[in-house]
Amino acid sequence: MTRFRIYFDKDEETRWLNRMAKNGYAMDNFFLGFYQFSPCEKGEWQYQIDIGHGFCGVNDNYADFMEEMGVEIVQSWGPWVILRRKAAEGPFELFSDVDSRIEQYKKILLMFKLVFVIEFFCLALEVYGGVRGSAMAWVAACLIAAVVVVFSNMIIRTKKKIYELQEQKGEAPPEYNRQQVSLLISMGFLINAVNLILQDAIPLPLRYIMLGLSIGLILFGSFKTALRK
Amino acid sequence: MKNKAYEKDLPLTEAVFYILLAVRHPNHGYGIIQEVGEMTGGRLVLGAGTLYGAIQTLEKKHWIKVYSAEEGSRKKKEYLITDEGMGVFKAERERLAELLENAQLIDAVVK
Repeated sequence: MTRFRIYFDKDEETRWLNRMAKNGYAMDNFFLGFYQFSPCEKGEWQYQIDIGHGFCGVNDNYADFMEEMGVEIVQSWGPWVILRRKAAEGPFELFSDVDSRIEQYKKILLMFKLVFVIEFFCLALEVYGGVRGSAMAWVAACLIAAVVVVFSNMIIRTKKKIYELQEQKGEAPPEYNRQQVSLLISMGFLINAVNLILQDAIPLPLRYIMLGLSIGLILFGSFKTALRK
Repeated sequence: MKNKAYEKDLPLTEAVFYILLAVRHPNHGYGIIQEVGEMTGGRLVLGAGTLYGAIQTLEKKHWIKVYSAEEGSRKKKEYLITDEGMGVFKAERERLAELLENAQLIDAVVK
């Protein structure tokens, strides 16, 4: 069985994988958002996601260590590592204290920030290309803009998680009231990208409707975001 | 205080404290988890990720070292505390003793 999902939040991804395992589907392969499942006994496996050290999450040392712990490395994708262990061996938690959980979120935050900077740079390039007259550059710019919004949200979300944990530890985290950016903006950009790609295939009135819809979504999303503060 | 040199490293987290204790003799990853679990009556079960991260950090700080890596198919790495690790642990023990001694004061007000 194959399912397509896109997760940026490892906690949500973990919950989903564990829910699937509980229903008798063990995830055993991942490729670009496609998760493959094979039947297992209900609740046979417990999944966890780890963020490895460095760009490549799994080295020999890590692999040996996890093997000794009875933990199977299902798949690694850059620093993102999906692990599982038989539920019969007891509850499977990767982190037993707040400090190591904070450390992990800090690694995730760094990763998101890095992607954000790269995407932002690409966005600038595409906009430049678009201004110089390349139609495809506008398509790419819209797609990247949608991704930039998503990643800025993930950065905000991860920061909040870190501050929550620090508070739990008894530390006083800095005041942080940044609100997430509305995903309607992302949707607006995506619709606009589709509109630009298929411009020859879409009849004219529909193109105006889609253009209006995408601008509407972007504006509405912006207002919504602004009003949240 | 004689252990001034280690004061900047204190206090230790509970996980680091117990890991150092568990490698006072050569011990491997799973052995550390088991020993810490037994010592605390099952209260502290170290997570694999927490332990892995701590071992990496402690090795980098030279508080523990690899004692042996079994050759062959099963490569169980064993770890052992270093002199420096021992120094830090003893400084922490001194700090905790002071804490415990001062804690007695609370009995004077509670009737």
